Amino acid sequence: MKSILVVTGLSHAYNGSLALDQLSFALCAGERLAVLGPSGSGKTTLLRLIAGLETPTLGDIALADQTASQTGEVLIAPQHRGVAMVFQGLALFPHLNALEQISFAARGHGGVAHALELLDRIGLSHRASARLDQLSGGERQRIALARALAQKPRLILMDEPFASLDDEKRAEMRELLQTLLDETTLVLVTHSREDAFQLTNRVLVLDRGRLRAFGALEEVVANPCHSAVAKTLGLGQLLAGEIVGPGEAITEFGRIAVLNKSKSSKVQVLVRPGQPRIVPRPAGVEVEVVSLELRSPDLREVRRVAVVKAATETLRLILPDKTVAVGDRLHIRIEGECDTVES
Amino acid sequence: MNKWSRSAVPAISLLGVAIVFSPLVAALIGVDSKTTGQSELFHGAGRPLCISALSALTSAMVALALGVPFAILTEKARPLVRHLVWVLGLLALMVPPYMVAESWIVLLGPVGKVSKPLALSLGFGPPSSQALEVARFAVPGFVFTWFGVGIVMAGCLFPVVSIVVASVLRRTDWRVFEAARLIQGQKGVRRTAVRVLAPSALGAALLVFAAALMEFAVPQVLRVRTIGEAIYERIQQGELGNATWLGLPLLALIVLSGALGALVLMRERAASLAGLEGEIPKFRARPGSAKDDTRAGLMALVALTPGLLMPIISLSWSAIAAIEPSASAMGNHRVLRTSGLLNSLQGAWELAHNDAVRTVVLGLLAACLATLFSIGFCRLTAPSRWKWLVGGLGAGLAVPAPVVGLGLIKLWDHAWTAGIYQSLAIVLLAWFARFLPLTLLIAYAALAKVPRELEDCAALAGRGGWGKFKSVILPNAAPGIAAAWLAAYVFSTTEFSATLLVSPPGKPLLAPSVVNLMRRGQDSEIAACQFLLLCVVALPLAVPLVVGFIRAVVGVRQTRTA
Repeated sequence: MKSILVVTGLSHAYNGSLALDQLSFALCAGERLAVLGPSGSGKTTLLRLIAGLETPTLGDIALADQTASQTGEVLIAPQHRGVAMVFQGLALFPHLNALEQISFAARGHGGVAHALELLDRIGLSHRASARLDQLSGGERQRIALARALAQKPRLILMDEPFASLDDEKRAEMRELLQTLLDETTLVLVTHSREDAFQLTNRVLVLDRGRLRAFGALEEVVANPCHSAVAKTLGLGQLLAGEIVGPGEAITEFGRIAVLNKSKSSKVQVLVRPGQPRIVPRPAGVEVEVVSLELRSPDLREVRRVAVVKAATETLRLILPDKTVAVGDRLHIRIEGECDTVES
Repeated sequence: MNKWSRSAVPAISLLGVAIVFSPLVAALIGVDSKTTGQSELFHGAGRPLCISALSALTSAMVALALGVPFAILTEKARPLVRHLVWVLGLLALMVPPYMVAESWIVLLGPVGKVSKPLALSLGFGPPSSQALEVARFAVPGFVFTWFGVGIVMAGCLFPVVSIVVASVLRRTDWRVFEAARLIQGQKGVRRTAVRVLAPSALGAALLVFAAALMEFAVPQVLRVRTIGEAIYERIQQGELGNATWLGLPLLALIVLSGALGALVLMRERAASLAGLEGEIPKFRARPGSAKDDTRAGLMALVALTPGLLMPIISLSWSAIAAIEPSASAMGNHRVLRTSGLLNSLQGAWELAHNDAVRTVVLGLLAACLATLFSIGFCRLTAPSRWKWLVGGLGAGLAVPAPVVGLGLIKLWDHAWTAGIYQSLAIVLLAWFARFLPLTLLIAYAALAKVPRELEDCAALAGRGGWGKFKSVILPNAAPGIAAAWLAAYVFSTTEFSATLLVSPPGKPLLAPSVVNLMRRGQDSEIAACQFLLLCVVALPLAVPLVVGFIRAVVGVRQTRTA
């Protein structure tokens, strides 16, 4: 399949501090990529570099086999890249009404007729003449999306577009985006795992400017290779451990069977939800319940979760019944094989 | 930033620095050790300098007393009242201080239209009630003192304090006051308000102090001998070196107080770029009530009386008095040979229409050029590493008008530059040197308010440099740019001190003519000429009104046709 975006050895520094460090990945036409990572990991910088709004300190960016940016130089100006962007704050023009916002971007791409069609598709044809201050948060979000699509771009960049919306509006916007995007390639920066899982099929995890994971979503979830990936995707809890034999590591919570991919003996062990279990004495390791929580992962049932402490580390444990109280001492064991990840 | 822009930055920066600071440098170059009688000079300058400082201090303190409650109460009022009061407050800033000083003389002077009848009715008049004795009676007052100068300047400059305080209030998250109230009640609210507002208010007061020190026309109208007057006397006597020596302590005081004020404001982020880039608190105060409106209205009445209402009352009174001119007002002046306000204005027009037209044309030219320069300068220096240049040029505001005038005389009074020195171009240069920094700062604030993302978005939507400017930046920064233009126009057309020093002979401008008239003219004649000056000042405000009216009329016709 034809690559629409190829990033090679991309680094970017702001005032001497490295925002992105040696990033390389490629995206094919029609693919949808979620860029995840903690605040300050360089997600927005990556989008701005792809859009041509920043000049790379080092490395190349190619769009549809054409080098768009290279070290210290923007070769293709942002307006000629065929790239649209939905900014984090939306960046809607305060002096234009809803239709004008979209027409602004539709110039040369079907003009007002195309803008009207998009306005209709986002269900706001009745709000064409509404000014920015007359539009609700959700309506503004739709306008920003339509404005990006009005350019008929080959690549859409979205920088945490739904950050300011409540869950219901967020779900609505996700559905709308699914219907509007068609075959357009998408790069979505988000903090929300839900957005990533629902809207994209590939994932890129950034941590302090470094690429920690890139690939198909299922692969990355199944084989997280770095602690940042596990934390960002919320895959489970990390425990400090030491490899003591083939497929075995020791932690504060006892010996655990591991799928070791690390060369070092000191590892981080990823314990997925459901793996820690209460066992009868004297099996397992004795822990103390330090607090109790309620969790509802899929909103169908509410689970009681105990935060238990061994010597220094804590672990969350799904409780089978309501008999456990804070201060109780339990015996637990981590069952099944755990992944080890780099830290 | 492309190559052209990169090479244009030093060029435009040099031009800006040359325009703003060349008069100062020229004035300072004139300072040499050969200047005679320095000890005598400084001995004689001590008193005027003290008077300048005292009047400036009075201005700063009264401006604080008026400006802080004005801002707090206005910000609490409902939108309609708030906007109205702010418009009036800004109008007070636009009225030339020498007109305010004249109104104080007319209404509260020794033979003032308010002070004398009041003193007589309260029994402070002469023991005898003979008409001659009563006519001779003069109210002992404070108008012709440094205190009077201070009060007048405070009346004109208090909106500076108000604007700063209001800007701090608008950026403050009101939950901090709610939190203080929950902890310590109203006492906590007051304490928090003081902690939040005091530094910025004091910074603004320091700016008022510096601005009052720079004022030259008001002390002249109120016959108070300040350091500016002493400098002017030396220039008149041709002692340019001595004039420069006298300007040095004044310059030092202005730079010190101005820089300190600016530093405090920047530290408190009242004037910082972060403040200008749209930091909006999440929570605002509760919506105002009718009671809040009344309080704001009363405070506005008190605060606006010295700087706005008194000139209006004085001018109106003189105009009404001119309808039936008294024997004393009938004098030998052609302005009042016929009765009535319109005839007075007609007389003023006959007297000064050439000055007025000259002032308007030159003012429009100065404002347009200064605004265009400011926009170009701000756009070219927009990358963060050049931002300091705007602040550097903004420091030019601290150069006092007599120093600007003096520097320009030294710089351009040569045979080979006579073409400039003997034309109105020298006035244009003086106005640029004085007000380009202000225009630049206002334009910069306006342009900085347009979020960078909007530009980026326009770039992605296919707009180049000019396209971005035309379709995104200009529409969003238009009010600020209009304000920069207006400030340049208003302050240029009403500028007195530097204009007086550099005006070429035979080409007088309206502001110096009006101030000169204040020293020797009849009340009604002065009032008529002041009306003329106000018309000149208000001319740009009339343009949008006329355009709006024409649009409305055209709209009505189109509707009828449809």
